Parts: sequence; C-alpha cells; structure tokens
Amino acid sequence: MLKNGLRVLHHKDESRTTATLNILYNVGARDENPDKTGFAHLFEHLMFGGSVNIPHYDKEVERSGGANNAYTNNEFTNYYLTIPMENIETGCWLESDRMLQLDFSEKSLEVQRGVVIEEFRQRCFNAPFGMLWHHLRGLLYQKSPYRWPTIGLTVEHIEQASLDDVRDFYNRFYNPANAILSVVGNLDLEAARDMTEKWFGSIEKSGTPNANHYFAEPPQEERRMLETSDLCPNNAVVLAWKGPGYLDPQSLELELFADMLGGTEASPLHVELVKRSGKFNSAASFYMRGVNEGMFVIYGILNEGVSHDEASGLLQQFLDNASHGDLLSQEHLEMKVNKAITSLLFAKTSPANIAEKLCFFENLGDASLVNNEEQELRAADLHGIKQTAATTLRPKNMSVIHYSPKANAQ
Amino acid sequence: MPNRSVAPENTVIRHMTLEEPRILPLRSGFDCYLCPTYNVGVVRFELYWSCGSLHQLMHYQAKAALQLGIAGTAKHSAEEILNRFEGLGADVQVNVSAMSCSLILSVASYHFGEALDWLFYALDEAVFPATEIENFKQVESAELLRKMQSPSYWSKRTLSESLYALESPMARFASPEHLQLLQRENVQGFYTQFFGLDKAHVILSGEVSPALCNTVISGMDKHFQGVATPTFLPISAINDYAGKKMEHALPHANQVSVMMGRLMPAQDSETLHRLVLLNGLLGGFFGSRLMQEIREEKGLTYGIGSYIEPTPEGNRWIISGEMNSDNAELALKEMNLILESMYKHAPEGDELEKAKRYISGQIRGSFDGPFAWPGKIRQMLLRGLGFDHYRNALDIIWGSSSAELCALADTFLRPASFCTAMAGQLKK
Repeated sequence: MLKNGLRVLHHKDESRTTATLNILYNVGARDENPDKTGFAHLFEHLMFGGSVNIPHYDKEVERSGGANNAYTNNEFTNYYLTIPMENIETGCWLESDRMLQLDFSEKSLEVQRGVVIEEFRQRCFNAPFGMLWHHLRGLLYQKSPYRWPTIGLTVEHIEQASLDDVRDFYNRFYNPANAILSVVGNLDLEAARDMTEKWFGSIEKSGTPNANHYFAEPPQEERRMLETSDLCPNNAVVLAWKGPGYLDPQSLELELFADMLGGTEASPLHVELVKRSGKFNSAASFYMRGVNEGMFVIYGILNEGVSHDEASGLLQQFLDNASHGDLLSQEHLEMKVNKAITSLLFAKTSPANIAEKLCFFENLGDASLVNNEEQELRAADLHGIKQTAATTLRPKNMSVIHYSPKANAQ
Repeated sequence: MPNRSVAPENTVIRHMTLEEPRILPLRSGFDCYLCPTYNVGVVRFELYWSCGSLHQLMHYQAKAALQLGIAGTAKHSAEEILNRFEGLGADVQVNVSAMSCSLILSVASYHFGEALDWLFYALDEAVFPATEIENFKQVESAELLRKMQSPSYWSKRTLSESLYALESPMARFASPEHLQLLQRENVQGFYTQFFGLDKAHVILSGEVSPALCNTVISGMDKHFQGVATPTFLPISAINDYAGKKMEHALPHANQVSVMMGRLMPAQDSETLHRLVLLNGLLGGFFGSRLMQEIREEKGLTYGIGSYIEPTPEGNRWIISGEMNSDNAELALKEMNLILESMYKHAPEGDELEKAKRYISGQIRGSFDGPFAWPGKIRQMLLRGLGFDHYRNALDIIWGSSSAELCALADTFLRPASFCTAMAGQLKK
C-alpha cells in the first residue's frame, strides 16, 4: 500500500509484449442518490474526458499503441488499459493523472449525457427484455440502493446531472485510498513498485475508502409479483431471489446450483421444459455473485398456449425437485466443478483477466483469495448445495415477473 | 515528483518478432496448423471448414448440420454426449458464418485425449435425432423472433437485400416459417456433403506437445476417405445499389439503426493492410473520425463504427450506428460528410501518425498469448493469404502515405458508391 492509501498489486508475466493496468474504484450504482441514479456509470464516461495535464486521454492511449475500456456495476467501477510493455509508464501517467484531477467541463458533460442516454435507449428500450433489470431490481429491493440498475432508473435522472454533482461525486470517491491498482506484465516487482510509487505515490489527495454502508434491505417474507408489457416476442416468466455476497460460502453453492439446474442446453431445466415438454422455447437459471449481494434467477420464455401461471408453477416445481428431491446428482456436481476448473485455467491465460481478478479479490479484502478458487470448487458438497437452495429459494420470499409483449411491438 | 505536463517517451512499435505456426499435412490434403505452444495446461482443438451458410439450399441447414452433428448417436443421447464433455471439463462451441464454419473443443490438457476421442465418436456416429431437430427449430425460431424486434437486425437485412439480387444466397434471410421446413434428411445430407472430418483443416493452440499433435493427426487421418472435392463459394449477383436509400419502419422502436455498405473486389495483402489503416481512421477505433465527430463531439450516438469483412466476391465495407430517431437524419448526414472528408481532407500529420502507432501496437499485441493465432489462420484461409501477410504488416502500415490512403478513399469511400439502410422509428 502506498502512503496515500492506494493498494497496488503485481503479477509478472514474461510471455507477453503488452502490460495491463487495471484500476478498480470502490464506487458503484449503490452509492448514488436515489433521485440521481445512473451517475456512477455517467461518471465512468466522464473519466475519459481529459484530466488536468492530459486533455485527451484516448489520444494518448492510442499514441502509445494501447487500448482501454471500463465498466460499472452496482458495487464498483473498473478501468483497464492494455499497452505495449515499452510504454507502461505512459499508462501510469494517464491513470495517475485522472486520479489526481479530472478536468470537468460543461461541454464534456453535455456530450456524455447524450451518449449515455443513447446507450440507455439502445440497451433498455430497443432490446427485447431490455427493461428486465429495472423490473427485477425494483421488485427484489424496495428500500436499499440496490433497487436501481447501473444504467439508471430513468433517462431524466441522467438529463438532470449537473457539473456540481459530477465534481462532488469525483471528490468523494475518486481518491487513492478508495482505489486498487494491479499491474500485470513482464516487469519485476521492484520495477513495478518504483514506477507506481513515482506516478501514484506522488498523488497527495485527501479521501477515505468508501465505508460501504448501505441501508440493508429488510428480509423479504412475502411473494412479490409484477405483471408488465415490454418489448419481447413471447410471454416470459422470471423468478428471482436475493442471495448472499461473494465471500459467503452459500454464494458459490447457489452459483453451482443454478449451473447444475439450468446452465446449459444439457441441463435438466432445458431438457425437460424446452425439449421434452415443448412448453418453453428457452429456460435457464443463473446466480449473479456480487460483492455484497447476489441474485438467483430462473426464467422461461413461453411457447404459445402456455399461461404465465402454468409456467411459474413448472419452474417452481423444478426448483423443488432440485433442492428437495433427487433431480440433481453427484455426477451433475462433478461435471460443473470440472467445467468451472477448466474455465479457471483458461482465464489464467488472459493477463487482463488476471489483472481484473486481483483487484476484485483485493476489493473483497484479500487478493490472495484468487488462489483459493479451485480449492473451493473442489470442496463443494451436493448436500450442502441443496440445503442452501432449499432455505434461500423459498416460494414465500420469491419475486415473480410475468412478461407479455407490448401490443404495438409485434 | 514526476513531470506530469510532459508525456513519458513512447516507443513506437515498428517491428515484431513472430513465431509462426507449423503446418503439418493431413492425409485428406487439408492441413493441421500447430500454433506455438505455451505452458498453460489447456488446449483448443478447432475443426475449420471452408463452407458455410452460403452453401445451403435451405435456411439454417449449415447451423443445424454442425450443431446436431454432436447431438446424439445410436447409443448416446444429446444430453449424454454434452454431459460427458462437461464431465471432462470440456466445452464445445459451434460457429457458423456465411463462408466458413468451426467446431472448437476447449479442454484442460490432462483430459484432451479423452475429449478428442469422444468428439470423434460423436461426429462419426451422429444420427441427427428427430427430437433434436425439432428442438433446434423451436429454439432458433424463438431466437429469430427476438432478433427481429431490434432495429439493427433490420438495417443489416435491408442492406444485404439491397446489395445483392434477391435470388442470391447473400440476400437470403430466414423467417421462423422457413425453419419448419428443415427435415432430418436435408440436415444429415448437408453434414455428409460438407462436414466430414476429412474435409476440415485443424487448428491446434494452447499447450500443444508433439505427442498431442501426433494424436490429433493420426486421429484425423483415420477418417480419410479419398480426395475431398474442393468447396467453391457461390458468387452472388449484385444489384445496382449505389446511392440508394432503403428504409424499414419499426414503429415500436425509439432508435434508428443506420447501416451504409458497399462491395469491393478482393485485394492483395498490401492493399488489405492499407484498408485496415484507412478503416481505422474512418471508424475502426475510438480516435477515429466517426467516433470523435458523431459520438464524442456531438453526442448523437452510443455506438458508431466501421469495418471491412470478407465476402465471396471480395470485401464489404460497412459503416453502422444506432441513434435516437430525432437524430438519425442528422447523424446520416454527418456520416456522409465524414466519408467525403477521408479523400477531401485525407488523414495526415498527427492524425495519421497516431493511427499508425495505435494500429501497430494493436497488431503486435494481437500475437500475444496461446490463442492469438487461430483467428488469424481463419482469416488466412478465408482470404487465401500466407504468413507473409502478417510478417509484412507493420512495414506496410508504417510505409503507407497520406496520398496512398487518399487514393484508396477516393476509390472506395465516395458516399454515392454506398447503399444506405435505415430501420427503426423513421421520422419524415
């Protein structure tokens, strides 16, 4: 850790001609004001608008032969840059300058507002089921700041963002103590240390790590239901539950459970409900493992003649069989564990993935946890998984969305 | 304190050292490309066929044939086959495009032998169960209906239907009704004609030991059944499309997808690299004119860009973007102005230098890692190129002058030579 609180991680990779810098800022959509949502994501765009010494961030990246991108979710914002190894100092110059002081302007804000609003329209209004996350989060979370999606609740929130809002957000969250930097490339630890100390250590900027205190959503003890008409070609049913965050062992159990149940076209959910019964044309399940919150989702897109209630009933029955019955076997678990371990091996071939994971696990509290992933998978126990599913995915605390196609969207 | 007001000195990437794949012949006359090995514990085995949806007589024939080639034998159901792959930690991916298809097996090295045997078995003994065909039809119909709700599907379709004569395979787009015509005999027939193991190139990447390579070659050679007939690409009749503007209304959409396109003949390696550079400057990366003007300066869109893709007759240049209905005509006007600017005010000086630095950095970086070569080999096979195409890449990029790029832009980027398709909520 540098004196200013920035945490720096390093991984040597001799096989590449490029280096990767990844910076994770501990700020996401959950840190927004409920009347000003979409801000963390809008801000991510503004981070490319120039800093105090560097008016054109992207031009300098391109001039150095590098490429960059970023993403925001409910819990953090992640920036990454891949650059020829010879030019890694340019990468440090760029990232440290925009951590030091961003150059705010009305013009930049106006342009990025327009860009983000177009993104909102493209992802949410023009894509089938584009509003799913608005509906799902709004149903699952009624008080906590997880109740709105990263893109923002409404276009109007983004339209109303002001330069003062932007400055305030930056000053609160974009400081070294609230950030984690990882460096992956063909350089030794000492060289990485010297370089990051030079460029980032010299940032004397006050600020504290995000305390991450949020209004905790009270436990859901009732079934919640939403009927909605949206852009979609068929009726659909979505069942969802809140779940624990990444470090809770139940989080991995729910992920494996979802994968066994409906992760591929050979999974029981697809085989039974799509292939054999013909009632659905698509059915799957997944678990989103967030830092502090997770979400279990099982959904089906219905064929004609199948009612929402019948479909909900079938999905619930499936869940019951899987969590209480013998639908899932030790063989299912072994398949998923083997597949997941192979995925880990493939992930290790990507420096960008390594850089991102180091920051992610450090943000959880300990970067070395990245080395435990395989062990945790191998330790997974079928009985424990089913028990967790049975206690978490109960009918009485379920959230249900019944989708119907909007009439004029046919 | 570092001097932040001055950029650190950058090294300009002008050269790269390539370790090229070895090419080992198969008995079939096709080749096994053995990519440089890395100590990573995983392997990718790819079967590549030089045929695709252009060769089909019915919609979805190629995709059905390849996907269902691992969907059941007389002794094992589709689930049993897929579950066995999963049990080995393996993943099988099927890719089908107009001119080529791939089947890619990704697996940990210690399970590679077993997974490969299982793949050969599944392909050799494929029976194309009727239930799997029905399932395929159902799933693909639903997926197609979802795609048909988005403006970008319709702009792409409208453009292709304008560029090519309606009877040509490049202008053929399926509806869910077409899918229902697929039957077992035409799926299996396509598979037998085009997807035999003795009709495929092999691309091996990851941790590829000599022993592993021998296993692959001997496994492939066992399937040799005689000299394979080369697959010829059907050439499409082209419309008189230049300057035309076609529209497809989608009243429910609140965005418009705009796609401009034109066809070009096949180009030699040197010209292809110059076109890559020119396309980069036009709309190929964030610093390009399209991105900077239309997105970053004017905020008219979230997504805009350009690309060049291979076609049977050569290449197709596409410029596309999605924007609010209110801004669509303005954005289209800007797109046309930027096209003109590429030859009226051709890139030079700092703009050209920056693009060369960016592209050369990206090219060199793209050869990093165990899985760098397969995509490039596919391009080589599609375009009939050799390894020298990549060996010479940086020299050609750096040697390209503003005048040469201007001449290419003058030849290929005149707005009147493009056809425009707009789909969405169109405002009059």
